[in-house]
Amino acid sequence: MIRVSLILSVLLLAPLSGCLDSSQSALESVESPDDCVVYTGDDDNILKILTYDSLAISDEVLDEFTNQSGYQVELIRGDDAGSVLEKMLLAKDAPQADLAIGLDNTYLQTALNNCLIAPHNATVPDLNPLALVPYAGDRAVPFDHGYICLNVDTSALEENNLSIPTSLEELTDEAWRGRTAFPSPTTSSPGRAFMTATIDYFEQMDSIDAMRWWEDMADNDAIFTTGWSEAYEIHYSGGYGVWEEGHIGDAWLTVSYCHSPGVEAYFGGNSTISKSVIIDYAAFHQVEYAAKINGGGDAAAVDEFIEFLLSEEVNVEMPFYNYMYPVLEGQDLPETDGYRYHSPIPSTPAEVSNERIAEEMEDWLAAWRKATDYI
Amino acid sequence: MGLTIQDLNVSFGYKYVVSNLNLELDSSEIVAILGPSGCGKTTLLRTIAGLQNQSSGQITLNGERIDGVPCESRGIGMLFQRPVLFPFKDLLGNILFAYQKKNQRDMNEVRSVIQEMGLEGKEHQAIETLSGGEAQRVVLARALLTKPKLLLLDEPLSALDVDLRRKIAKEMRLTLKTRGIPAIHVTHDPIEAEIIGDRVIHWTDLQPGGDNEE
Amino acid sequence: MRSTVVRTVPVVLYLSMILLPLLFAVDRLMLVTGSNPVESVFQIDEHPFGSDAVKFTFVQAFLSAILTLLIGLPIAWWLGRYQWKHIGIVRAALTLPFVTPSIVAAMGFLALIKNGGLLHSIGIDLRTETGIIGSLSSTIGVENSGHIIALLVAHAWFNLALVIRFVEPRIATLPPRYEDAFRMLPVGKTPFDRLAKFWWPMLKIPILSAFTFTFLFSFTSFALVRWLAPNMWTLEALMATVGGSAGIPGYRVEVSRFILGAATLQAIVLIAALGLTSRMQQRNFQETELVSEGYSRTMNGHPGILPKIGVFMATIFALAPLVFMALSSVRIRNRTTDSYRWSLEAWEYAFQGDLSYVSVPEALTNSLVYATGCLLLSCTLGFFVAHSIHSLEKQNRKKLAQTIDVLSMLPLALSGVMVGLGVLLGTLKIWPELFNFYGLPILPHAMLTTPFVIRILLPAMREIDPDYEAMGMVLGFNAIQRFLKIKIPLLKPQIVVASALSMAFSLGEFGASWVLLRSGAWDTLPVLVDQLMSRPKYFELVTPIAMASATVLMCTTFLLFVIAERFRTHKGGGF
Repeated sequence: MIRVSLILSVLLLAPLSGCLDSSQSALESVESPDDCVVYTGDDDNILKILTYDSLAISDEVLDEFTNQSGYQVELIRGDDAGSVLEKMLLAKDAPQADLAIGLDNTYLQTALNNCLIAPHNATVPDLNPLALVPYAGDRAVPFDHGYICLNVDTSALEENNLSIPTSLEELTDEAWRGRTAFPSPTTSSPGRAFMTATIDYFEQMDSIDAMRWWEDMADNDAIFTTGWSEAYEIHYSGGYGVWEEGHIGDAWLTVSYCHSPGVEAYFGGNSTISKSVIIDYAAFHQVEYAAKINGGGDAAAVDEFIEFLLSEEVNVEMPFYNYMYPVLEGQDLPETDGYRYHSPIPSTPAEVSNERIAEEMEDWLAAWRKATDYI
Repeated sequence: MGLTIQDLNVSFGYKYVVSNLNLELDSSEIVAILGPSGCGKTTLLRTIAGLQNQSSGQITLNGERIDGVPCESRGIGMLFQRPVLFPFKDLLGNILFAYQKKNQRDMNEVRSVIQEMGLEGKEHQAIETLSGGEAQRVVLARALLTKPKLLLLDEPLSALDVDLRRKIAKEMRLTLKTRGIPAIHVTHDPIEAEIIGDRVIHWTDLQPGGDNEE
Repeated sequence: MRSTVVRTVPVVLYLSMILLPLLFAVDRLMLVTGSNPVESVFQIDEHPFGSDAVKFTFVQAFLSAILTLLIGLPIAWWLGRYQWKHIGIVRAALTLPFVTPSIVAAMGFLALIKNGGLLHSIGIDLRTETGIIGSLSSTIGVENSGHIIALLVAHAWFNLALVIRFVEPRIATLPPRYEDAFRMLPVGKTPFDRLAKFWWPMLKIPILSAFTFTFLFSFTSFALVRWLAPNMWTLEALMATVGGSAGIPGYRVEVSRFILGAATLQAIVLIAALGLTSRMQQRNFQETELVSEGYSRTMNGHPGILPKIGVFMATIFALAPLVFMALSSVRIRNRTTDSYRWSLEAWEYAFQGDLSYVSVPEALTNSLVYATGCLLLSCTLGFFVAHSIHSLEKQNRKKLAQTIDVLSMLPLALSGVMVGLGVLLGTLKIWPELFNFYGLPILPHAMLTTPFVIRILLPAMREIDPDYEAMGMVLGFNAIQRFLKIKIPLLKPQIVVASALSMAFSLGEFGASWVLLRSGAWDTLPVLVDQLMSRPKYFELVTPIAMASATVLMCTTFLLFVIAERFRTHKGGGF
C-alpha cells in the first residue's frame, strides 16, 4: 500500500510541475512606466508594508496609525533596499505587500521599469525641493533623504600626519595602503550609492575611468565588505565600532552618510573624532521612497500611510528613527548635541539620473566586481 | 454449549502448525493441554482468541461461530506466559483496564476480586515492585472482571518456582470453578495439569503428526 | 483498509512536505540558470567568491573537527577513566554548548572576545590582533586570523559534547581485563604501543564518528560564521547572504547558479558524511561486550591533579561564553565617559521593544508559537511515519520499510539555509499566497526536526512487546482505544523527548528562519537578536539589548532540555 502512496506522490507532483514554467514571467522592462498595466489586489483592511530591517518605525508609531486610520499594519522585511526590490521582483505575480518603503533612487527606476509600482493618490505636503530632484512623479514619494560620502578618523589622520583628502585620487597613495574600507555596491545600499558617485566624479574630473580607480584602490589594499556595518563597525577606527565586538579598526576612512559624524556626536555627548569628507561630485544624494505596489490592495490605506509618514509629527522624527534628514520643507536635523553641527551638506553632489542608474547599474556592478575582485 | 473446534488448520506460510484439530469443551469445563514447549499450543490458543488467523476450520463458542469475529469482540480472556502489565499504571490502574469506559466500572466487584486474589493494600504499588506470582494474580483478576466466556491460560505459571506454581494452580481452579468459567490451560508440567484440569489432553493426541513446530 | 489509510496518508504527506518545496525550488533554479544541479556544481567558481567559499568551508570544517578532538579527547578520557564526584553536573555543563542555539553561541563568543571581555583583558586579542594573536597572525600570514581562531574555537566549544558523548561511554564500559591482558603481552609494553595497538582500534569508531559529525556541523555553520568571521565565507553563509537574489528570471543569474551548485555540493557532502557515520555505527554495534560504567571506574580510582585541572578548565570553557553573554546585557559601556556601569536598562528596552519592531516577550511568543506548531506537525507526522515503517517491518516488507526509512532521513542532508531557500523559492512556485502566511516557517522547522522524531520513536516502537497489543485486544479494546490507552502511554517518555527536542530546535533555528522569516511582527528570538546586532550601534544599549534577548533565548532552550532530560529513559530512544 505504501507503494501506492509513492505513486500518489508522483501523481501529485506531475500536474503541478506542468504549470510551473508558464507561471513565471521573466524579468522584462517597459519603455516608460506609463505603459504599465496597473492592477489592484484585494482589500483586506490590513496594510502590508514591505520594508528593510533597519527601518525602525516603532510599533508605537504603527499603533498610532492604526488608531488614527483603523487599518491594521503588517511589516514584511528584507535586509536592505536591494532586498526590498528583490522581494518585489520575486513576488511580482502575487505581491506580498501593498506598500514598499525604503526603495532609494538607485533602485527606484528598476522598480518602475518592471511595473512593480502603481501611482498613489496621497495628498503630499510641501517637500524640500532637493528631495524631489531625482524623482518627482506620482509613483513614489520621498520620506527621508541624506548624503552618502566618505568619513575619516581625524585622530588617526593626525597621528599619521595625513590631511583630510581633497580628491579621490589621493586615496591610491601609499600612505592610505590598507586604511580604507568600502561596503560592496553589490550587497550594500551605501556602497552602491558611493560607487555611483565615483562614476560621476571621474567623468566630471575627466581623468581616469572610475573602474580604473577602484582597481587602484584594490591594489592599494582597500578593504571591501558586504555591508555598511562590517565596514563601519569592524574596520573603521573613527566610529562607534571601537566599542563593539569584533572591531578591528584598521581603516581610517570609510563610506557612510555625511551626517554620520553628527549621529556619532549626538550619542557621544557632543564629541566625535569622525568627520565627513566633502569633495565635489564624490557624494551621493540618496532619497528614500514610499511607493504603492502594483497589484497590492488597500489603496486607501496606502495613501493614508504615505500622508501619515509625511505628517510633521512622524517626519521630523526621521533623524532619530532612521538617522536620516526629514523631507518636509523647512525641516532639518536637530541641533542637539552637535547632530546638525557635525553634518555638513555637500554643495555639489554627484549628478547621475535615475534612468542612467537603472540602465547601467548591472554593467557598473559587473565592472566593479572585475576591478576589485570582490562580490 | 461450550467451545467446539472443528478441523482447525493454522499455517505460517507453507508450514502447518495446527492441522485438522478437533476439540470440544463443556460449558464450565477446564481442560489442560499438556505438551512440550514450541509444539503449537500457543498458536492454538492465539487462534481461538483471534490473535492469529486460521487457514480453515470452524470455532464455535456457546453456539455461535466466532472464527470471523475480531479478537476484541470475541469475549475471550487470555493470560500470557509473561504477565502483561502496563508500566504506566499502578496495580489498580492495570486492573481497571478490564473496563473500556469509566462508567462501566463496578468498584465493589473490583474490591472483592482484589481481596480474593490477596492483593489488598497493594492497589497503588508500581507494577515493577510486584513479584511474579502477584503479577499473574493481577492479570487473572483483570481477566475475571471482563467476565470472559472462555479463559485461555498460556503457561501463565511457567516462570514461577514449582511449589508456588502448584499453589496458584489450585487457587486458579477454585476461582474458575466458583465462577463457572470454562478454560483451556496449556502447560508442560504434568502435575500442574492434573491439579487444574477437569480433563488432561496430551498435545500428541490432538495432533497425531506430533512433529509440528512453532 | 482503514489501517492502510492510517499508514499511507502520513507517508504521502511527509514525503510531499519535504520533497515538493525542494523539487520546485530546484526546478525554478534550473529554469533561471539553464543548468542542471550537477553541472552547476562545476560552475560554483563562476561566482567571484565561489571557489574561496568552497575552500574555506572545507578547511575550517576540517580544522574545527581536529581542534574539537584535541580538546575533547583528553576530557572524554579523564571522565571515562576515573571516579568523579558530581559527574552528573560536570556532564550537564559540558553538554550545554551542544544544545545552545547557534546565535546564542555567537553572541557568547562575541561577549568573550570584545573590547573589555574576558579574553581581551587577559591579553588574547582576537579582534584587533595585537599581542600573541598579532604575532601568530603575522607568522601564519592569514588575514583576519583572529576571527578564524574565534570561529574554530567556537566550533570546538559547540561540538565538544559530541566527542564526550561518543567516546566517554566507550572508555568507561570497556572491560578492564582487556587492557590488563594487553599490558602483559610483549606487544603492549609501552604506553605508546598500547595507544596505537589497543586504544586506537578500540576507540577509532566513536572518534571518527565524532569527527565526522563535528565536520558536518561546522560545514553548515551559519550564525557563528556570520558573527565571528564576518569577512569570511562558507557556502552556507554565502548562500544565505546572496540567496535573496536567487530564482528571479533574468536577474543576477550567476547568483541562482551559485545557489544551485552550492546546495548540490553541500547535499553531496552531507549525504556522504551521514552514510559514512551510519556504516561506522553499524560496525560499532557488533563489537565487544561491555561492562557497567562503575566497575571500570572503580578499577582506576580517583582522578589525579592533571585530570582535575583539565576537567575543571573544560567546564569553565563550556560555561564562560554563556555567563559572559548574560553579563554583557547588564554591563554597559558609557560612550561619553569611557567607563562601565551595571544596569538593567537594556533589559527594559528589550522587554519594551523600543529598538525593534517586536519586543522580547513578543518574539518569545512568536518563537513559542512556531515551536509549538513545529512540535505538533513534526511529532504527529514523525509518529505516524515511524508507525508505518514499523508496521511494514512487522509485515516483513523490509525493502519498502527501508526505502521509506531512508527517504525520511533526507532532510538530515539539508542545512537550514538550504531548507529556507527551498521553501522560499518552492512555495513561491506552488502557491505564492502561502508566502504571506505567518505560519510558513513551521514548514522548514518541521522538515528539519521530523527525521529526529522518527529516529527517536522508531527504535522505541520496535522495543514494545507485542503482548501489550495482544492483551489490549483480548481485553476488548478497539484499535483507537488501544492506540490511546496503550501505545501512546507506552511511548510517552520518547514522545516527550522528541517534543522537547523539536521545540528546542525550532526555538534556536537560525538559518532557515533568517532566510524566510522577515515578516515583521513574526520575528523569532534568534532573528530578533540578529536584527538588533545588525542595526547601526551609535546608541550604546544596542548590543546589551541583543545580549539580553539572547539570554532569554538561552534560558528558554535550557528549560526545555531540563524537561526532556527528566523524561529520558535508558531503554529505547536511540538518539
